[in-house]
Order: sequence, then C-alpha cells, then structure tokens
Amino acid sequence: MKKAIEKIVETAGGAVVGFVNGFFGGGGGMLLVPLLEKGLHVNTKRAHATAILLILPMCIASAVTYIVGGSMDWPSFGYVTVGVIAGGLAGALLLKKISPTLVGVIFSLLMLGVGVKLAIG
Amino acid sequence: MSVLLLILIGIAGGIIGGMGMGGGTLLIPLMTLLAGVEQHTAQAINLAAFIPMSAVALAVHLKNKLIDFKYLLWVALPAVAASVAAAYLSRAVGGRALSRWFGIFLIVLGLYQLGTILYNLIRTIKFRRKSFTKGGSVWYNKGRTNAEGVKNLKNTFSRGVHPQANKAMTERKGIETVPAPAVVYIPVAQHIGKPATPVVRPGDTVKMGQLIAMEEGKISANIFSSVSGTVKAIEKRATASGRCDHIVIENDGQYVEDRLEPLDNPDRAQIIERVRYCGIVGMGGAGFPTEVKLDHKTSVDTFIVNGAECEPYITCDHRIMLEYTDNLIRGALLLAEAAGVRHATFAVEENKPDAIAKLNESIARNNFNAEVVPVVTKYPQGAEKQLIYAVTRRKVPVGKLPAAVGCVVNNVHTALSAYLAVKEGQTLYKRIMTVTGGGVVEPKNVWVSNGTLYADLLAFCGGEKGDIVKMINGGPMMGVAVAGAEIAATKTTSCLLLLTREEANTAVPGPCINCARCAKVCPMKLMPMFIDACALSGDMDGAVKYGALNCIECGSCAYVCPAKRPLVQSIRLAKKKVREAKK
Repeated sequence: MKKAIEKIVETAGGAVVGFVNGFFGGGGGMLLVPLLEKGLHVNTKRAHATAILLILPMCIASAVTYIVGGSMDWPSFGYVTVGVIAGGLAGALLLKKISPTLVGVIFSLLMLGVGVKLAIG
Repeated sequence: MSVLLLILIGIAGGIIGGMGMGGGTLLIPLMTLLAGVEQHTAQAINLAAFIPMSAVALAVHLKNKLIDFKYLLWVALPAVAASVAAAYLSRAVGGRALSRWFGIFLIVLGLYQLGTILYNLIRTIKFRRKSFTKGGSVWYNKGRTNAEGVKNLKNTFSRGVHPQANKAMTERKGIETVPAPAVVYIPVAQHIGKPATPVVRPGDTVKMGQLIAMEEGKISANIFSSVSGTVKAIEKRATASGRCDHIVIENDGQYVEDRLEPLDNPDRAQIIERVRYCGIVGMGGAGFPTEVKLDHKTSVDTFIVNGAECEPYITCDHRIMLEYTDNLIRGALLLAEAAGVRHATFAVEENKPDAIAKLNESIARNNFNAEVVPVVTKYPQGAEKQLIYAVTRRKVPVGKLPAAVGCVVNNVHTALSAYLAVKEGQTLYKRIMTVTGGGVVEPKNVWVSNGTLYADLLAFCGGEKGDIVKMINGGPMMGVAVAGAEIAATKTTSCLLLLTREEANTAVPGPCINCARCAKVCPMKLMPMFIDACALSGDMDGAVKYGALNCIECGSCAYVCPAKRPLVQSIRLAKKKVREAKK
C-alpha cells in the first residue's frame, strides 16, 4: 500500500515536473528537488544529484521537440552556452565564498521582480 | 553587442545554476527582456544549454555515488512524456501569452523560494538562542584555542551548590577567649578511630596540657587536660555523635601549664612524632589523625592548606588566617616538610579577599616558600577531593587517599596547632571556634578549652534569644543537630550554631518526586535518590552499587531537595550498615 502511494507520487510528480519543464523550457529542477526531498524523503545532497539525472532526459526530449518545431536560434545558443559553462564553473567556486542565504534572497527577489514585469508587460 | 550580451547573460545564468539554484528560470527572462529573444526560442536555448552542463555535473555526482537510480523509471518516464507533450503544446500558445504565463510561474517560484529561506533562517536563529541559554559551550569556545580555554578554567569543581553564606555575623569579630569553666568534661573520643584510653584516675592532680588519655592503636589520638586541677570522675556522657567516657576535671583556677620542649630545627621524623604526641587531628571537622596523613608511602609533591571554609556561618578559619597569619604559614611549612614537600599552597575561597591579601603580604614579607590560590566560592569547595581538583586538576581515585595523586591536604587550624606544638611545645587542648546563628545574642569567634560545655559557651556569648529550633555541632550543611547544651566542645568542634525557625529547615519530608536535582548538584556525581531508596528498603547492595560509600556527606543533595528529604541521613545509615556488615 505504501509502495503504491509512493509510485503514484513518483508518476504524478514526474508528469507535473515534465510538463512545466517542457512548457516553460526550464524550472523543472526547482520543482523536482523539493519533490524528492519532501515527497520521497531523499536527503538534500542526493536529491540535488538525482534531480540532474532525471531532468537530463526531459531536457533532451523537449529540446528536440522545440528544435523540430523550428524555435531554435543556433548562433544565440552557441553564445549563451559558452557563457553558461563559464558561469557554471564560477558559480561552483563562488558557492564556498558567498552566503547561500544571501544569494538565495537576491535571486528570489529578482525572480519576483522579473515575474511581475513579464506578467504585467 | 548582442553577442557579448548573450555571453554575459549566459554567465549570469551559469553562476546561479552552478550554485544549484535553477539558473534556467532566470536565463530565459534575461534573454527575452534584455536581448529581445523570442520566448519560444529562449526556452529552446535554455533547454539545450542545460544539457552539456548537466552532463558534466552528472559525471561528478556519479563518481561521488550520490545518484539514486531507482527513480529513473517511475519519475523520468512520465516526465519525459509530459515534457514532450508540453513542449508541443507551448508552440500552440503565442509568444506574448507564453511570456505572461512564464511571469506568473516565476512569481510562484520566487515566493516559494523566499518562503523556504525565511523558514530556515528563523529556525536557525531559534536554535542558536536555545543553545546559548542552555550553557552554549559551543558558542563559548568558538574561535578560542585550547590553551586559552585552559587559562580561563576557574579553580573549582563541577556541580555543587551556593547556599547563603551568613558569615557577616562573625567574620569581622576578633578572636576572644572563653575562660575555662569550673568543671570541664573531656571526652576520650574526639577524633576518627579508636577512643583513647584514660591514664589518670579520679583524685589525681593534673596540669594544663598534661596527657590524660593515650592513643589506642594506629588511628587514634592523645587527649590532654585543658585546665589544671583534680580529676573528679570518669563517666559516660553524651557527645554530638553517641556516648563515650568523659574525664571530668575540677578547675583549680591556677592554669599551671605543662609544656614540651620547643623544637628549633626539627627534621621530618621529629615533626611527625611531635604532631602525633600532641594529639593533632584534622580540625576542619573530620578529626582524622594528622600524623597518619603525613606518614604516607607514596611520593607527594603538593601540600595544600585548606582555607576554603565553604560551610555557611563558620568564620574561625577566616579569623585564623587574619590574626595568626605568620605562625599559620610557619605551621603549614612544618607540616609540608613532614609530608616531604618544601612548599605550601593555601587554597582560599574568593569571598575572603582580606585573608588572601594578608597571606600574600606575609609570604612576601617573610619570603616564605608558599603561595595562595584563590578558589571559587561554592559549596563544598573545602571538601578534600573537590579542593584537590580545584588546585591541581587531579582526581583522587575512588577509595584512595589524596596521597595517591601526590597531594596532602590539611586544614588551616591544623597548621596553626602544628606550629604551637612544634615551636611552642603546646599540646592540643583548646581550639578556636565560631559560636553563631540567629539564636545567639552575641555571635563570636572564641578560643575554647576542650571539655567546655555548650551551655558555658553560650553564656559567654550573651545567651540565647528568639525561637531556637536547632542546636548544631558544626555548620548548617554538614553539622549534626544535638539534643542539648550539656555537650562538651572538642578538638573538632569548629562551630556551635543556634538556628531560629526562620533559618532552619523544619519542613516535614515528602515522597521523592523524581526531579533528580540531587543528582545534578552532587559533587561526587552520585545519584542520591537511588541510594536513599535502596537504604530505606534495606537493599544495602543496591546502595553500594549506587556509590553510597563514595558519599562525602556534604549535604548538597538534601539542600536542594524540593521534597525536603533527609538524603544525607539515609546515606549515612547505609554507610554505617555496610560497615557493620563487614565486621
């Protein structure tokens, strides 16, 4: 019984995360980590690592769908990817120097601001 | 320009993503708002850009064995299906509308994340405050080295209590002398060990300081006459702890004294012999023959003079330190010499700053090989094991004497008596004691001849007053309540205390409420509630198991007991029964 409930949580959660990630082209990880932690009781470190494994096939699948649909702009993709890789390395190093709470607060305020601008504008 | 902008946007998104905070969600609006990328295209770029970075991250996590594969099937399969469907669906939605929906999604995520951060923040602050009030050793030690920690250690022991000192009544009163009464009643048992055997008979004439009862066996002590006169009788009388023979001497008022030859430059054996002959015992109250302490087999490197005087009300040691400073230190050095040490350490509680200053001044002036270590004012700081720990940080093993850890401890008064015995040839037949309490008209510190009845002492101190409910031989914590004033003062009577109803605990004991406060204050780290229960149910093996024999009878447990249980009395009972069973 408990196993069955867990399976339902996994399947339904996976479907919601997949839908959001496909529809908005991102943000799946931000839903998947709390799902694994709170819903399936995986510890924080493992939850973050496992989320990447689960999101990777989603990203590949929906990216292919977008590309097939003709939404891709390859030159822009190239520039952004270079930036993302450089920034990703910097971020991993910075993580040890900056208070994650401070970054989290700034980041979520930024999300709120941008979200309001997009929703109204 | 657009290229540079896109790279910068990528870096920003990458930094946030690298910190594990979902960089993609910010990457998309940055592209649409700043670089004018169409919403669908931005989403496609974000998805594709995530692939190389997550592949690298995945490899690292795999190496660290952090990945759970069991969710792959049940989570990833529906997720992949849903994401393809959703990606297809998003194409049907216009760019403007999708952008608007995306904004709402961001607001929800932003609120969620902010909420989580605030929740965690509040929890940590609460936890910090909690740990701080609970003693917060972690916070106290934070950023300090161990060396600093050791330096900051206070000279004391763990646990114990802080009873009201009540020393103000007598601590500033100089020592007076109680004139010897017309008749003295000298008990032959004034010490721990076997009672002495009388060597005088009724009708004999004795001098002051003359031997009247001789020690019996190794652990015993000689007894001397405190007046000159005629022996009237040898009779059984009550003492503070049972009945024993008393030598009754009628005072002739002449005070003809019998003194020994003073020793100018005595060696170790001579000092020990003199201390033994003069009947010197531990004058803090225990009455253990001093000679036995000095004549140890192990090597000793620390000689401690106990000037803690942690018992409330009592001030006689304090006055000795102030009034007989030089001779006290000389006596301590004599005892140290006898113990095989050339240095004496005075341990004095911090509530006697005048005594500490006086001792330091005397040490400096006479160039004595001695030092003063102030110890924290806490009860029972003057208990032997606790004092040794406070001064040396050494722990005396269970069932062993202080000599086992290289220490010998003697009371202040014992050191003064040693000086009088060695340098003035005076045997031990009088002592300084404190007569105090709310029931005494004029509380005083006084020289008292052995065998003086409490009634005579009280008469010298102006008599009784108020509603007296308890007469105690010793201090309020360790002293023994006595039945009347017809009891004689001895070598070990440091205090006569008359407590009025307001001062004394006269509450009726209730049943144990299992609060464990007694265990929290026990300086020997015992669990008095269990010893009490075992002793009262006759389970002496249980009492021994819970450490009854290690109890130092300091009374801290009974002092804090909210049910007012006489814990020390039941532990004493257990100790006595166990000793009887051994015989």
